[in-house]
Amino acid sequence: MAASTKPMILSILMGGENYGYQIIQKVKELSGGKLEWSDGMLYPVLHRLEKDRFISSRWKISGGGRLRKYYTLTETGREELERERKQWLSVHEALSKLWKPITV
Amino acid sequence: MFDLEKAIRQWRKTLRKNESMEDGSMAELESHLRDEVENQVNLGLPVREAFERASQSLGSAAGIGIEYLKGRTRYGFMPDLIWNYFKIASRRIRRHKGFSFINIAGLAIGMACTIVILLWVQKELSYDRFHENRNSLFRVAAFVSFPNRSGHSVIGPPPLAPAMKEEFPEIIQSTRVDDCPRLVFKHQDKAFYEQNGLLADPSFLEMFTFPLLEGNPQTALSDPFSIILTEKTAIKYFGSENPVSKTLMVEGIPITVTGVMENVPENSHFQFDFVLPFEIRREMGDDLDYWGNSNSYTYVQLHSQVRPVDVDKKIENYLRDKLATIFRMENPYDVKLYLQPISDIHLSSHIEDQDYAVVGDRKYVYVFSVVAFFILVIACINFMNLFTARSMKRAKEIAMRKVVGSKRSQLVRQFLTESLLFSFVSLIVAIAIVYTFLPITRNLLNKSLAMNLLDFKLAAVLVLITLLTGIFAGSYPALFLSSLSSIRILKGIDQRARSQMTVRKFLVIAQFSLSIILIVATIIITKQINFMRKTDLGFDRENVVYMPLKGNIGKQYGTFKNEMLQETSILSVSAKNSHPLLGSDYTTDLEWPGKDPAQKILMEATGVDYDYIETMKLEMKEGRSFSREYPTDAGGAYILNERAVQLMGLGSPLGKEISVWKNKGTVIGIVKDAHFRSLKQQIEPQIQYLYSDLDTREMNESGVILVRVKGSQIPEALVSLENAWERMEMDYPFEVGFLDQSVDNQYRSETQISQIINIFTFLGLFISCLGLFGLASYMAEQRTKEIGIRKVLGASASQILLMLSKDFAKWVALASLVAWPSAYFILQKWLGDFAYRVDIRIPIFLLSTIFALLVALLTVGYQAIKSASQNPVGALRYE
Repeated sequence: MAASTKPMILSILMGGENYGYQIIQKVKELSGGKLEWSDGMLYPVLHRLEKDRFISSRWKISGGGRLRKYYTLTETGREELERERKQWLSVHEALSKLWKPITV
Repeated sequence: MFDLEKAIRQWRKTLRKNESMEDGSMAELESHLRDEVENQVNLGLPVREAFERASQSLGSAAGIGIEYLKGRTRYGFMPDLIWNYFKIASRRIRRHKGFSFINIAGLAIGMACTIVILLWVQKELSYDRFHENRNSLFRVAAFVSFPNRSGHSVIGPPPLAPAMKEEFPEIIQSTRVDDCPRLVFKHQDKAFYEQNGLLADPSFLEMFTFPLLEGNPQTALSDPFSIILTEKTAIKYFGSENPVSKTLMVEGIPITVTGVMENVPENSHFQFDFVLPFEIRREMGDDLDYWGNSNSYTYVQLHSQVRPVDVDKKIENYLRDKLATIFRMENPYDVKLYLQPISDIHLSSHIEDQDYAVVGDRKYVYVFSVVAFFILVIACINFMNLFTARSMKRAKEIAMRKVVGSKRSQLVRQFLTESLLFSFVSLIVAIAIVYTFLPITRNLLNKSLAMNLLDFKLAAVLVLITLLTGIFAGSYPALFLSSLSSIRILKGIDQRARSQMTVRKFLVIAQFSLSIILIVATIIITKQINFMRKTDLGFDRENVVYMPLKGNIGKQYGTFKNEMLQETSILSVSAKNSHPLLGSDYTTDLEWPGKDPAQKILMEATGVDYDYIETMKLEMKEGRSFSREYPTDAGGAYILNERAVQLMGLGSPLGKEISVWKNKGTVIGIVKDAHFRSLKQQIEPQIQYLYSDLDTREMNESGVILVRVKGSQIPEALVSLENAWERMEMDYPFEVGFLDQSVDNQYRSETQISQIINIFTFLGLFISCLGLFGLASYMAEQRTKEIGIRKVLGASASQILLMLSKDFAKWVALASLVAWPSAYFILQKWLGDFAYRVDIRIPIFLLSTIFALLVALLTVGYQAIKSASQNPVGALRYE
């Protein structure tokens, strides 16, 4: 499971409450339509994030009678996302400095 | 038409098998699946392809499972670990309901059987422990040796009890005890025969703990003409009034009721409805000071500081020396006295002539303990087998866990938690089963068993058994599987799996061995009982009734006999001075030509009326039976049975003169040996003499009138007898016994045993089959792919059936190899108790094995047929 999955999911949820299937489509979209692993493997990640209390969930029945589990970003999740963002950005900065000379 | 719902159901089933999958996760994944199917359909794909794509992109259950596991192990050190295991364990039970049911049912039934047997054993071992003085109360027993027989006896002379108390300071109390003959009790309009009475000295009430509800224990037995009634007897004759100081007519004699005693508890070897003072026998003409009579039981109480072993040494030769002194005999037969603790009495079945006591057979206590153990072992083996089989299915999951980092100890704990959970659930079910069936066991065992769960000992034993079973059953798969090399499992190498199969094979074989032993036992015990029932006893037991010979009937016996013979329904009438199947007097006071003066042989001497041999349809070997044509028969003739002749060593006995109790007579006939006692005992030597002039004789209380009636007219005969009786006899109510029933009663305990063993065999087999069924299901599932391939290659259903059944047949055969010699050995010992018995033959063993085989095949067959007829394509598809 790529380390980037976590910040990706948290970021997607910044946009509001969403359910598993949609989240995964979004992740696929952002990853250029391909994933290294099967769709289903994302659910354990959601499970873990929920355990860590970064996201919370509830079941909702849609108009068509379909049962779906919806996730929302928690306050702690927001903080975690900020932390991750800072971390990624610092990594990006560091690597950018290293790579710049090569591209010339 | 592609059925989406069906496909999703199938998919769900596959998902379920992975135990890392929580229910909530499954629901979410299903929801995702449906969304993706919808998506694909919207993109233009037909439903079937949409489903294919969707499930593919979702990924395999195994892969997802691993991810979930990763999440879990990170938190592996959390304190609520045990609860986690518990959750998983109960999830497992829910998800594999059929399997769990079989597992739990098998173990629960096994436990229930064991519990019932343990309760029974506990009861048998608990006799007579309620007496306060239990540690100092003993019965005086003796080891007696005659030339033709020796053994333990407890019957002795009445003066022994008071004499021992005088002679030995270690003995602080003693009492004489005897059982009562049948007596008629009458109070106002209530008259009945009372069978269960006890004769005892006043010290009896001090020594033993039989509390009096009414009356004074110090004085209740002082007067010979007094009686203590038990509660239920008091109610029977006096209703709710206090019977103390009231009069009860016993055999026409007024007796004062001096006490009411609490009903005797079931676990007492003394069972009685009333107590009469021993001294009343003196009033009836018995010489209670004569050392030559053997008609009393002696109980003593020792001083609390004294060791019984020391007293044994002191009393050993007391009786022998006493008899030698009194009778001035040179070679008394050998009598060695010893003390028997009262708690040993109930299981002292090696002692004969203690009909007054309730005695069980110690052997059966052992036998049933062993049977209980067998059944529990079968159930545990089952449990282990099924549990392990199921665990193999999870081998892959386990391997993955290990790859991911699950510690071996975690896995062990997981397995143990699960098996313990199963074990305790089984215990609860077992207790429920026992409560339900306890009332039924009362009929079967003639005893009431009660399970008191608050009894610390019992509860502790139950919990211990459950813990041991759970740990034992769970530990094997736990330790074995968790030590498997994970890579090899993932790669599909099942080398270890094969050795595990060996262990499982061994367990099934063990189970079937035990079952086969039980089957053999059932067959042989049933055969023996039938043999005993159907053997020609040497007399005709059908259509013979008997009545007490006493009172007015006794005095008018001659008239009674003549009148009855007028009836067409009555064929013959005779009399005997004891119960038809019991002896009356035993004596060594015999003389015959050629007798070695030092020899002392004990023989039974019975007084009989004319026509006794004809009424009983005994066969004469030589000579004639008593006849009125020979007036010298009265008091001067004897009839011997073959065994007596053999022991006396008389070559041609007819016409020889012998003497019994110093009374000379001629041997006029030899009667063929007959089994009056049960076939457990050897035929005894018997001498018959004529009981003539019955009208004027003093009646022996236990004499009987024997009447042979016409088989087709039994009711008429009974009516005639009753009418005549009521006319002639005022004091005694009419009551008949049926000879064939009395004979059957001799085998009551064996019949009970056989019924019990039948039940346990059935249960043992049932449990084995449950296990086999589960196992077969598991194996069939394992070989689904193999079966699928074979079918595709053209194998027929019956060929598949054969393939699956072959293994089990082999196992049953192997089980027989172990079972046969064991069964032979065990049953040989049991049969050894019977003087006359059936043979153990080979066909019995073959029959048992075939039976077990049939049962096994039936059990496996169902599963085999199901697998064999499954669609092979379906089998090969979902991996």
